[in-house]
Amino acid sequence: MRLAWTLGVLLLVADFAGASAAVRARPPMWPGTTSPDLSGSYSFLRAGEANLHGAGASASFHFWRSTRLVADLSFHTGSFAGADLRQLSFMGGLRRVFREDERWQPFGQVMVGGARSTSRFADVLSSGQTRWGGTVGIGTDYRLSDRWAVRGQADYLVLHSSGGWDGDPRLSAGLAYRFVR
Amino acid sequence: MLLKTGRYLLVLMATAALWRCGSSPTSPSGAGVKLQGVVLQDATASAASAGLSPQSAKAGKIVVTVQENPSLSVTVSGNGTFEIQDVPAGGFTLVFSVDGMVVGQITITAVGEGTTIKIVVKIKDQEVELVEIETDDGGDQDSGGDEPKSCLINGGKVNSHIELEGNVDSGTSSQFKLQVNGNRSRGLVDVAASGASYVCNGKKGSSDCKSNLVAGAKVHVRGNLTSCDTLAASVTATEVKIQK
Repeated sequence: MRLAWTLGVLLLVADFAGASAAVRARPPMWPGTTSPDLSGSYSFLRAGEANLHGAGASASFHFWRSTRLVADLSFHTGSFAGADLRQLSFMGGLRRVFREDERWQPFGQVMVGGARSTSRFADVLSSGQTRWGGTVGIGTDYRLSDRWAVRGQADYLVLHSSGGWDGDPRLSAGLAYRFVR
Repeated sequence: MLLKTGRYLLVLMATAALWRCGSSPTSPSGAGVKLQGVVLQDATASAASAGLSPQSAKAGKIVVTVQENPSLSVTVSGNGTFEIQDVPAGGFTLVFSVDGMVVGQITITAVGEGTTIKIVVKIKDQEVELVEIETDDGGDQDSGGDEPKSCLINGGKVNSHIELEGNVDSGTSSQFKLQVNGNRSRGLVDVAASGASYVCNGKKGSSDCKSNLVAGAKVHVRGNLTSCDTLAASVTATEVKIQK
């Protein structure tokens, strides 16, 4: 778990002064790097031993240089061993975009938040638990136009419950829209 | 340059980390028995849950251990799921502990090689209760193909605890036929409820709760599956909860 957090922090802080300074000197190929964006995606989550499928939505706002504030919401469902499982994750944090003037725009992000998990059996019994923690993730946008991009993303959710820490990978793919003025 | 290389290295490591450290004890993929389970912690009956505070993370770290081979032990994940591979065929006992304290055990018998067993377990008030068990033979090796289900109720095991939800089709408070919700049962289930305690939602303690058991009533039956074949199933109820 510590490794995951360390990686996330490094992804965010690395390269503040080096290569990206030269990149910023050039006029951006894609406008709106300081504009907010919104994305929607299909999402797969490996929650505990279960494979859950669902959807995610996120919004990001320019914060400082290539760093953006991110809010992320995702909902996954599935079944395991006869029980129906659901998970709602709500996170917020920082995203560092690495090559804002290129068509491919990789990013790394770190978020904190929580997840509400519900297990239900045959509509008879149900139990739920809210866990807190965060995610580290990497992804990339492939710019289709000034406003639209295809986004792929991989996150690692690290959540704490009374039973200890869980690490759950999440993969998502979808579209991002940038509100270019 | 160094930073750039470092960054790609980090990305590589992060990707590798996504191949999550699995929590289940790994085993060579053989013909052993695979056990998949879900633990419902402090579960509430769904119909009544609307008015209750959402449970709790009161239960601590739950560990499931195979008594016959204690090295087969897993920690239940935050969403209640767990999986153990290479469980001994024939039969085994699962020991459940919460924060190191044993709270109960479940014995599962007559398990063939290559079977996947799926169980749902409820832990409440430091007690373990088997809610559902289902076996999946895989239909590949021993059975030689798709074997017809031997019990009317999916996952039903004779002489095991069972919980059913459905509507009363006909009968009285001492003996009635139950139409089980969903596709869990392929026919009506006979419920013997003369010795069962009755609970009416919203009318707890009502002396004539039993009179609410009429055709069409929505009920939750808890009890023991006394007999089951492909045409009929009988349950002796210990509790009948009339929900509407």
